This record gives sequence, structure tokens and C-alpha cells, in this order.
Amino acid sequence: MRRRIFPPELDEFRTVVRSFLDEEVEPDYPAWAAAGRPPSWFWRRAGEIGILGIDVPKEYGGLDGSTFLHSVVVTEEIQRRFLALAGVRVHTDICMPYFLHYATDEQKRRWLPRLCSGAAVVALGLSEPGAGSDLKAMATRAERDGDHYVVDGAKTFISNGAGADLVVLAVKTDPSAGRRGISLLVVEADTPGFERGRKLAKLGLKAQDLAELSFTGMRVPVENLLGEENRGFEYLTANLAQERLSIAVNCVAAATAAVSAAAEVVAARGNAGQAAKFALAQASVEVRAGQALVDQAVRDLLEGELTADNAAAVKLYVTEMQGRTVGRCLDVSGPDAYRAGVPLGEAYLDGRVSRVYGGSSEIMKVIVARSLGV
Amino acid sequence: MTGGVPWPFEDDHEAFRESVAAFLDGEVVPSWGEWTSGTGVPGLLYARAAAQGIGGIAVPEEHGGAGVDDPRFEAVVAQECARRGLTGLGVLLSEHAEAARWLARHGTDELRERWLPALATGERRATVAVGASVAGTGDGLELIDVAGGAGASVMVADLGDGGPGGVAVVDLTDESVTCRPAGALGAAGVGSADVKVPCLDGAAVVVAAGGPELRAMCRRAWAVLGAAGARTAFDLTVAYVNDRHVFSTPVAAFGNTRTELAGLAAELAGTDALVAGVLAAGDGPGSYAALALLRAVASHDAAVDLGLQLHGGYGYMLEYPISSAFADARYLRLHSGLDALVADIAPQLGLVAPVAARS
Repeated sequence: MRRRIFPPELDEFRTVVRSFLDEEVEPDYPAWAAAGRPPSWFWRRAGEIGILGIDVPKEYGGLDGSTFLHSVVVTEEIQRRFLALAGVRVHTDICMPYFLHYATDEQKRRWLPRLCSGAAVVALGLSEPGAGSDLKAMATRAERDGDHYVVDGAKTFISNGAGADLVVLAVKTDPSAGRRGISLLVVEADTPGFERGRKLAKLGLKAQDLAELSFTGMRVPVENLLGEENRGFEYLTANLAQERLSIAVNCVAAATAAVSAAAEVVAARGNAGQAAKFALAQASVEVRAGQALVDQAVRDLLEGELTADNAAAVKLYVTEMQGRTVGRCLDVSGPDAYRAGVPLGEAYLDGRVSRVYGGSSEIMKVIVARSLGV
Repeated sequence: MTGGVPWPFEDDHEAFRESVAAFLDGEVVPSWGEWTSGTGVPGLLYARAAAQGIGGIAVPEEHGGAGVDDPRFEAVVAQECARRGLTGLGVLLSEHAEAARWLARHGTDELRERWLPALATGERRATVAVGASVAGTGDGLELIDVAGGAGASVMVADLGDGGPGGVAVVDLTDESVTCRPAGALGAAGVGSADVKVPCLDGAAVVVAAGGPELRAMCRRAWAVLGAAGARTAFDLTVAYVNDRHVFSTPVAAFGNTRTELAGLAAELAGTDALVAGVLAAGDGPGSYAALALLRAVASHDAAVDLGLQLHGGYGYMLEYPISSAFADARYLRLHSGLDALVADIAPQLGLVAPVAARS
């Protein structure tokens, strides 16, 4: 169905992104799975193309005139090739907003140019072993000591964690105040006391950087506080809609790619039974529905109207649709698609986490249920 | 491993279970990760297993076996492998046992003498190809993704009921045969391979009868594996949700957790009953095993999917067995050979055949 969210101006940007991925990224990509993350040249080149400066004002090195739509294009092009490169949208869709909305002008001048150029990769330090869905239960502590906060604690499941130069770190500045005791600090990775922990071995997404981080007596200057002390939870909540939409954009694109790949396999075989044809048809229908929903949500976001419960509904629907769809596509493609190095097979394992991260399906249902007044 | 459903195991099966558990815990579990991520599963393992009665006990005594043709023993092996997340090994051992069983029952004298002694001792490994994509290329055979094809010496391949049909017993060590190993995404260690036999006459002996029985035997074995995998995923998940606290509450206490697990338990009870029934029926009609396999792989999928979800972020970490269980279940589902299953089930349902087949 015709998609109406992209103005013609984005065509050229899409072409640039597509060429970058086809000509520079794809040939080198297999090595990234072994390394467990993209190489630093990737970030530099992504910065040069402007991918990392989406939504950032030109004066700070951003991509002039860009919006979330540019990010949608990037994510779609990445998923078109089944590449596990979510570190890009973690950087742009999930982390950048904290700088854009809560950083002072001085802070923006300090960090945004590096983030836009790819000289610095950023991660969001939120989850802890004891605090996933229940974020306010976090234990990483930041105690004010003169001009610094002294930080002690540990984080897990941190995307871009192993390679991050900057971390937007959620810390407890007032342990007695629950969600009203959380602050956001920007931490430079070379700060004494900052340690990268294990690179986490995942079921899929082998080329994506996921790590543990720990902080021991780490002194972070108060100039690195984002926004106001103890308002961090509010800031985190405000970005949830975009974060969840970012995931939904990713997942509908992944499902779309799976249907194309499976249809190609089945057509080439030339002897598809009716069951296979119907399974692909069902998958294609669900992708269309998911895409329409995502595109509507993108429009809402751009107009400042995407509510938390709508974003939750979209994330829930699209990630579950992705699971059904990629499963169906793999089933009709056959056992030889379920192999290392075959994009569709790997997409099946890559996609499974989407119903868990960014707020699990269960949490999405809690949010939607609440919006119904029940 | 029962979920309350009565399985047709007797005292000697349960005693055997203990020795299988000891063997796996002692000789396989400590090294399995290392073997499957690099060094490879040592060929000697199958001889060690055979010495414990795991593998070729259905082989008649005259050929060096125990002469015990009772699939319940192999079912115990499959269950104990599944319980330890050793899906790939469970497949390999099942295939070997069913190949040996089939050869003992249907092989020509020459085939039996040639293969059974080495299969009984585990010196050589056998595999089966049922429902694998067959591309008949003239006089030859091309099979995609044969479980256990890599490293096996002999493959017992169902040629289907269309055309000449029958079962091809292929000498995989024949120099004309190519076995290209394929890195499967699930069932680590299963050793899948694409097998090309350019000319059946050279490397294989085709036996006219026994195709439907081969399919039934293998489906029964895979159904046991699937049901056991589902049960294992369920048990892993119950343990995890009892232990893990979120919002100061055990995950097990949430209404959603309890409702979903109750639903899964009902699903698995049905599957266990069906698979146990097939096992108890011995050599029942072929489509009963086909139904059991269809059901088992669906339940397995449902169990690992819900299990992973209830594990939250940790469900995606390889450190937690539910993650590889998720990958393994899809392997079994993809290898259950849906088209061949439907082809066997449909006539048993009394459905008239498609026009081409009738004329």
C-alpha cells in the first residue's frame, strides 16, 4: 500500500544511506558478528553521511533539516538487508533526545559535535540485574561530594556498552525517593572507576554490542548532570514513546524484509503448495497492517501527539506481528534457511528479543490496560 | 518429566533412565559446549554410549546387539537428552537407533550383515532422512539438511510413496557421495548436511518395502524429542519465575504468568498424552505418529516462546538454557517435514486424493 509519510526530499537521503550500506557496510559486516560490534570506522562514516546527527541543529554538527523521518529511513534501509545495527538507532532515537531536550548550551557544545561526527558513540545506562521492568528499583548510587557525584553500581543489557565513549547514566541521587530520586549523568568512558564488564553472549544479533558496565567510586563532575537532579525518571518517561516507536519501525521493516526473502525463495523453487502460498499471504497482510499502524504513529510523533499508550500499543502489536511473520517466512523457506549466514534464519533469532526489550509485551499491556481505565 | 500424564515406562525403563542420566551427566554435559563450539563431537562418544546400551540395542543378538526392539528405551534417552538441553545429541541418537531398528526389521541379509554389527557397537553412526527435501535428479538423490548427515556412515532415506518409492540405504562413505556440512542455527552438534548421491546404483541399496514404517518410527522418535523439549522448557520457566522478583513480587505471582503457564500446561498435557499413547501403541498405524509429531513440534514452539518471554531479558542470553531451547525447537519444527506429514495424514482422514495422484 502506498506510504504517505515520506516527502520527496527524503528520496535522495535514502539513496545515500542505501549506497553506504550496500557498498561499504555489507561487504565488511560478517566480521562484525565475530567482533560482537561494529568497527569505529563505521561510526565515523555514519557520522560523515549525517546519519548520527538526525534531529540535531546544524550549529552542533547535526544533519540540517532532519527529523525522525530520516531515522525511519535509516532503520528501514538497515533492516532491508537484515543487518543487526540497532546501535545506530540507540544512538540517534534513544540517547540523543536526552541531550537535545535537557542539555545546556554549554553541554550541547561539549558533546553534540562528537556524537554527530561519530567520534563518540553513546549508550543509555538504565537496566540493572535487579531493575529491568521496574526501573525505580535501580541501585546505582550517585552521592554528591563537592563538585562531583561519586557513582557506585552496575548496569546490564547496555546496547553500545562495550564501545561507548559516552553513557547517559541513570543513577539514584536520592535512594529514599523512589522514582523521584533518579538523575541522569553523562559519563565519559575514560573516567576512572568506569569499567566495561562482560560482553553479553546473545541468542542472536551477534553484531550488536551489548555489555555490562560497572562503576566504582567514579567521580562525575556536576557539570555532567542532564537537566535537574531527581527529575531523571520524568525525562526517561518522556522519551519512551519515541523509543518504542523506534523499535516498531525496526520490527515492521524486519518483517517486510522477511516476507520478501521468503517469497523469493518459494517462487524460485517453483512448486509451492497452497499452504505455503497462504502462509506467505497471511504474513504479507499482517505486515501491511503493521506498516499502516507504524506510519500513523510516526505522523503522530512528528506532530507531538504520540501518547505513551499509543506508542505502547504500536510496539506491542508490531513486535508480536514480527514474531509470527518471521516464523511463518522461515517455515515456508525450509530447513536450509535456518543456517548460520542465511539472513532469514538469523532474522528469526535476531527478532525474538523485540518482544522483551524497550519494555516487554507484558509491560506494554499494563500501559494499555491502564489507558482503558481498568 | 511426566506432567502427570502416565507414560508407558516400566521398571527396567526407569532403571535404564538412571544409567542414561549418569552417562550424560558424566561424559557429555561437561564437554558438550566445547565440542559444539569448535572441536566437534568425538566419534568415540557413540561407542561409549553403545557400551551403556544407548544406540543400537534393537540390533539382533546375531549381529552383536542386545536384541531389544522396544522404542521406550530410546524414548528415555531422548527425554534425558532434552532435559539437559542436548537437543542435537538427542536427534543424533534417535536417528541412529531408528536406522538400526529399521535395518534390523527390513534390511536385506546383505545390508544387515554389512551395517548392523558396527551400528550395534557404535563404531559407525547411522542417520535417517524422512521428509527431507528430495530432489530426484535422474538416477541420483539430493537431500537438503539431513540431520546427523555429517559424520554418519550410512543413511536410511525414505524415497516417498510416489514413483518407485521405497527406502534407499546409502553408504555415505562411498566416494561418489558428497556430504556438505551445514551450520544449523539450532540443535548444536546435530551435524546437518546436504547429501548428494549422484547415482543410487553405486552407493545405495534400495529396499522396496518399509517406507511408511520408517516414517512412522522416525516421527515417533521426533515426537518424543519435541514433547520432552516442551516439558523441559516448561520446567525451566517455572523455576525461573519462582526465583525472579520484579516490582518486589515473584514473577510467578503475577496473574498473567499463572494464566499463561496454566494454558501451556494444558497444552503440554495433551501433547504428552498423545505422544505417550503413540509410544505405548508400539507399531501403530503410521498417521498416529504423524499426528503426534505435528502436535509435539507445535507445543515445543509454544513452550519455548512463552518460556523465553517469561525469562525477560535473560531469556535472550545464551547463559540461560531457555535461549538455546528456543533455537532448538525451531530446528525440530523445520525438520518435521510438514508436507510429507500432510501427505500421510490426509488419506487416513478419508480425504480423496488430489486429481494427479488418482489418475
